[in-house]
Amino acid sequence: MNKYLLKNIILIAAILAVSAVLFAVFYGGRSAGASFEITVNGKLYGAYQLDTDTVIDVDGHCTVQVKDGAVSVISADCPGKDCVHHKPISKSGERIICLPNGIVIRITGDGVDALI
Amino acid sequence: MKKTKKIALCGVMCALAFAFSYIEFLIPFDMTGIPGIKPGFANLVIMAALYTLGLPYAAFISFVRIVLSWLIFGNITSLLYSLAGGILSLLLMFVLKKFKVFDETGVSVSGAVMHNAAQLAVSALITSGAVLYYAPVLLIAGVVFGVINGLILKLVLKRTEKLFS
Repeated sequence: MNKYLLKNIILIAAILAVSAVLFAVFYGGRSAGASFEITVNGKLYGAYQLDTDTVIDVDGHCTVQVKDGAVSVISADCPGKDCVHHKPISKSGERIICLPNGIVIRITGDGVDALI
Repeated sequence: MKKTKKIALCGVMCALAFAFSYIEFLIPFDMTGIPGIKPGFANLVIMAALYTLGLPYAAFISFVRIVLSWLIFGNITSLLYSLAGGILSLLLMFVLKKFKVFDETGVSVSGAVMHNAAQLAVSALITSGAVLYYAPVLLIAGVVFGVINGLILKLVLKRTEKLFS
């Protein structure tokens, strides 16, 4: 047990260090976004503003709702419903991804997400 | 251990691994707001098989679990990344165990993180990199549940020693 304890701690510390770096890269310096775009299989489906409440149907696969400056997916035809369970997004660079349908909803608005 | 006993235990463990997958499907662990985080209790069964029955049995149980989950509540994409995660994490755990690099906890953490990394890599291919955004959260989830499962595995192995002798 003691023989492995140190190794385990080093392993965990290394993984946490990597995730801390990734956190800084992906989540650092976020500001509220002003607009968002929807891409389907890498192609731009549409760009929208966050300040107007609306409901968007994406190819009949999922329904996207804009409310109080945040975007969420309210229904989807995929089996996992991961996108529906995702919290509403509003900050620049945040995204909701529906893997089965290849749909990505991403908040845009300033240059931060150019990093990604 | 007699071969018949191994085969019987292998069958029981297939059922158990699938039962855990089903429970995880019923209860989405999305309190973080980020999807895809699972405690990976099915991996607990696969690790137990790796430690007691050996790699071929563990691989078989993992494969059966993935195919069953795919048939019952998945799609083609989910099969792809389940297979990638299952195969790579099992191979890594096998190597780390065989060469005694880590104990159960280290093996479990490495397996969990590898599983998430492999799934993320396949999803990144599909979404041209968009999902890499989830990487840090999935790494941390892998560590947390990896440690928990490693500790449970230790207890399970200790208490079932007689069963597997």
